[in-house]
Amino acid sequence: MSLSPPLIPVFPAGYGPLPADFDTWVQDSFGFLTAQVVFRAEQHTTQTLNGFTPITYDTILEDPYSGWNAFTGEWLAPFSGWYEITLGHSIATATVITEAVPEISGTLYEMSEVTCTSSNEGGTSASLLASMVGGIDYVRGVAWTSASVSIDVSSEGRVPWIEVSFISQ
Amino acid sequence: MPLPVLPVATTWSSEELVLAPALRAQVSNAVALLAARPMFIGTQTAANQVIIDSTTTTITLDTELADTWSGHQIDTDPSRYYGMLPGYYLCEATVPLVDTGSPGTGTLSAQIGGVQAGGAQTYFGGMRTPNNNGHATTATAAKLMVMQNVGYGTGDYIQAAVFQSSGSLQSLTNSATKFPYLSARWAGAIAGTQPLIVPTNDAWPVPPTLLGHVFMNKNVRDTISYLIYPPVFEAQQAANQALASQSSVPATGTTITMGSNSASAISADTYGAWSNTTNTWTAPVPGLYYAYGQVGLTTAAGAVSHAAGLTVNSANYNSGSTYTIWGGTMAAGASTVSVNNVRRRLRLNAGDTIQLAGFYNDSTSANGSLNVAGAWRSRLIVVWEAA
Repeated sequence: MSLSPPLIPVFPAGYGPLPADFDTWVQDSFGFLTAQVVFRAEQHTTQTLNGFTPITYDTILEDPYSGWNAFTGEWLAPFSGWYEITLGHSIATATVITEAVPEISGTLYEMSEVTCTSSNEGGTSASLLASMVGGIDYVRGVAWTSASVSIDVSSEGRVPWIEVSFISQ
Repeated sequence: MPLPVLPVATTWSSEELVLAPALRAQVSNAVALLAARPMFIGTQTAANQVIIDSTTTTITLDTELADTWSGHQIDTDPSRYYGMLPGYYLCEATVPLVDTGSPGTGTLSAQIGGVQAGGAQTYFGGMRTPNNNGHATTATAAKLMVMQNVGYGTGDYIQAAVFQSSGSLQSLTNSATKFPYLSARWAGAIAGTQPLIVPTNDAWPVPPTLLGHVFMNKNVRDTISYLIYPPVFEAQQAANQALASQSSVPATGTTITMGSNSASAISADTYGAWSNTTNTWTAPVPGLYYAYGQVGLTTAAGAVSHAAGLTVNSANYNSGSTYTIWGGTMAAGASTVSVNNVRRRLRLNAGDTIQLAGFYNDSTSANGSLNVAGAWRSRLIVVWEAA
């Protein structure tokens, strides 16, 4: 992927543009604004949560800018701007409290926290719109639980997910 | 540089000269808007606002993290973000609170409110969850708000609000990692041209191929028209429905019916993607969609748990078999209002479908009653974000 956030095209007076100029001013500008930056991942293997626990996403659904680092579990923002992170998880049946926690470069944001029951698989989801510096800031998906409990991946509809979408420069 | 204006993409005619002023008015303006669209993020980090029991209260946003079009003023009106450009604004709120009265009793709800199209101030409830015992509770909400009359201090506005029923005064929590939060971002114009294809952004013709009006209309006019008026949808439930108790979370949840195609149910549907007959939203074009669902109900005395889900039919998910993506179940209080939610970004093909789904577990197998009046209604939001 080679497109980057566009500069506002100027269309200078008295200049004879070539087709390549129009590709930069129009095609690439609208091309980036159409495709944006997207990262999506899921986890399909179980994992034990206790306190703040980074989720080890094992299925990368799309990552056109190659920001994902499987070793650290971090997604590096390719460009500076405002990104929205959505994430969620389910846990095995247990009477615990759980939180969905987007982490940005080491800072945890506790965006949703609910009580779960021993009757049904608990869980929650959350979103966060945040500024990130390209090439420096990263996103990691974290879950918090008040006691040790397993992530629930027994059903396709309950696997943990994280998604990042570029919103604005 | 002045702020861009809402683009009006003009049609290029045969043999029309492509001049710099027209390109600036069309392309430069649209790129400036779409690359840095109106967006606001406000939080409460300086104060711990005291919230009265069982009273919806707007939240004072004393810290700005982003306000690209200056729709918020901390000094003069800290609870309101004014729409500065007409359009649909996707709003999300988070509200944390520690119940210090009788922990484990009562509920906490995040709400989004404000004035739309010059109407009365209204609050729209989001997650409403039992207060956690001995730990903070954090509720979330999302709502699509219509900002039609714009301008700081005089136009339509957006607020975050909170409701708690602990039985006593409670203070909102704020710390470095947990704080009241409201985000609002322009998601598209209120009116526009549809249906259009997702822009293909073709390379410009190289001589001897001539640049013609067909190319300009496809790659400038229609591209701008699509990007400022993409598929945007929101529905809220407007007809009574019982949600039957189930002991375990099913693979496919009970479909929530919105009840009618009236304005009270369908508040946005730019591409006419909703079917009131099947209670189904069908993707009109391929792309990445933000999807939010919430299910609001009044529980019975034996309430155990409750969940919201998005029932998806797409070749991209679950090997093409219809299933429900659940947001996780939470405990549900007895004989009270309970709202749970889910949000995803879904990669869909044209023709793929989404339905709002609910799950409710009651120890006596009694039904939950879905709310069709008041703040805590079921809601489905879908917004196209990218190709």
